[in-house]
Amino acid sequence: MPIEVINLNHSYKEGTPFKQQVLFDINLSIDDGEFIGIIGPTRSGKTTLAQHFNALHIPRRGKVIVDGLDTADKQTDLVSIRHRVGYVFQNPDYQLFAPTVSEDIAFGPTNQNLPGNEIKERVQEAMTQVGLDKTLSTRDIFALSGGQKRRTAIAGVLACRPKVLVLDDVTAGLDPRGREEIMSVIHELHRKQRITILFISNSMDEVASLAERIIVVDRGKIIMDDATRKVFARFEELRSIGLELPEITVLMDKLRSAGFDLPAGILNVNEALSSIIAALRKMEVRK
Amino acid sequence: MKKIIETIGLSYCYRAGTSEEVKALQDVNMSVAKGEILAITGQNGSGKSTLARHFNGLLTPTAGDVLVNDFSTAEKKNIKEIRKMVGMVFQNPDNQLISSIVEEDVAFGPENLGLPQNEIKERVDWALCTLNLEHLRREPPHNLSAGEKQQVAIAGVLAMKPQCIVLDEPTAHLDPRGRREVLESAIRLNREEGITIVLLTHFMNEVIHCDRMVVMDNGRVEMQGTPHKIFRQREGVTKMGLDFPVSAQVAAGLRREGFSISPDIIHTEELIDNLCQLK
Repeated sequence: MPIEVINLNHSYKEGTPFKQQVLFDINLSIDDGEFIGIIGPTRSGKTTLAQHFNALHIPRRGKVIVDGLDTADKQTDLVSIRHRVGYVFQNPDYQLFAPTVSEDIAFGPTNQNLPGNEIKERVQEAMTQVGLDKTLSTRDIFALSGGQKRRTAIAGVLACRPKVLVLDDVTAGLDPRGREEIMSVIHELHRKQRITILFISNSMDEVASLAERIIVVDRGKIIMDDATRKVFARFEELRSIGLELPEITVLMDKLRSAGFDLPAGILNVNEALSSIIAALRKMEVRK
Repeated sequence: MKKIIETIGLSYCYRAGTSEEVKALQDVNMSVAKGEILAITGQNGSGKSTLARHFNGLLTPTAGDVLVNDFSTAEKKNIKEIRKMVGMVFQNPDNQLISSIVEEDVAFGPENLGLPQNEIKERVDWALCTLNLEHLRREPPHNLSAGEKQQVAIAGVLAMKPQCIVLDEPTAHLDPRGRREVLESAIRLNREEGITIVLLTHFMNEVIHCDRMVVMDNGRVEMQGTPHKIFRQREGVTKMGLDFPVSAQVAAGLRREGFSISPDIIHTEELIDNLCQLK
């Protein structure tokens, strides 16, 4: 289910003296099954852009076409677009509102007027997909850990069986284990079900480890849109807008400057290890 | 080393005495030394924030005692003095900024201390200057980036001239630059102004810049020591649900392959030095 963005402009407080333009001439196309990282400094417009994908924002200038449907067209059923493009917010407390886990996850399918047994089935399926144990289904939302809340929020969106999942900085504030669990849930959704993933994050390490393509947003404009490796090769531009390289990439660059024969553009620890080992062997380093 | 904060057999229950009692801290004995940067880490729900809220009397112990410069937080009459000594910065700066202009926000604390106008102005100038925020002094906070807002929240606490600043996951919601700048500020306040820093964080690349670390699990202090000492204990660290710093991950991988790499590596520079020795 492709998404096309054509000459999109967006302003907040349109029609008032306080009008503030936050997106400028955005053009973008997203294919089925892609895993795209969206990065940029705070207030760059990445969330505003992403909220156009599921019609939380409707363009006044420019177009957003989701699966052939123009979100600004009065005939378009926006609810069906929101079921096809699921949006998981940064703060799960803004997204969760039912008293228990299963009731919260059931909210979407219930609104789709599905029969009771189908709703039940979808809730169970969504809980399995995000690795929430069955025993948690009657658990009070307030008694969940941070990681469990994020997983419940993702399950609630998955229960609508979206083709595209927008994840807005969903690992912020999680501990290392919680972050790892969420990352592996997202990785599996993409690998097994080919759900298109749009992954907004402030963690360059997370984006580097999962995304195949990266869109860099700065002051309302797309300044890079390319394969992950190519984007992180432009580190001077990234730094100039307040982004960084993944930690492992920085480490490898420093080793190269120290005279080690290592390739550029290493993005994860496993790649780093095998290339350091190869370099050490070539130098015939004694163990 | 003199202790600025000490907890003695500290236990804390939320909703104590009801059927919904939750034991958040159990028999915690730890201290913060004057002049150090101490990291407190541990999984979500391990009790880090509950512990930190005891450091300036936002919470008081269900059992045990917390001493700040030897004043007990359990005694109401001490609280005002204690809050002058220990300032607190929270995760979300939006919850901490209240005024419509940056400099007014920074002045809020000193004004509440009842200081004379010229002294307030002096302190605001000093706090903004120390954190390199002078260019933002007339901005409304909502025009700032999340990182800048967090710096302003720190300036507001700094203007109270505390001996110790407790930062509760101050970088959790910041972009990479904001994260780096807040960490650099915390380190600078420690090194240049001699302010004791307590940093609650999930990021191991922040922990390694601290003098010492405390690892919480299930309401208890499970490990404490220098980052070098803690990250050597690989099983313990894994059991606590922590990550290893990137350099330590690479070093461990190389050691498994039989290369002669020190088990003490946590910083990039240490790994580079060690690899250069192999040449």
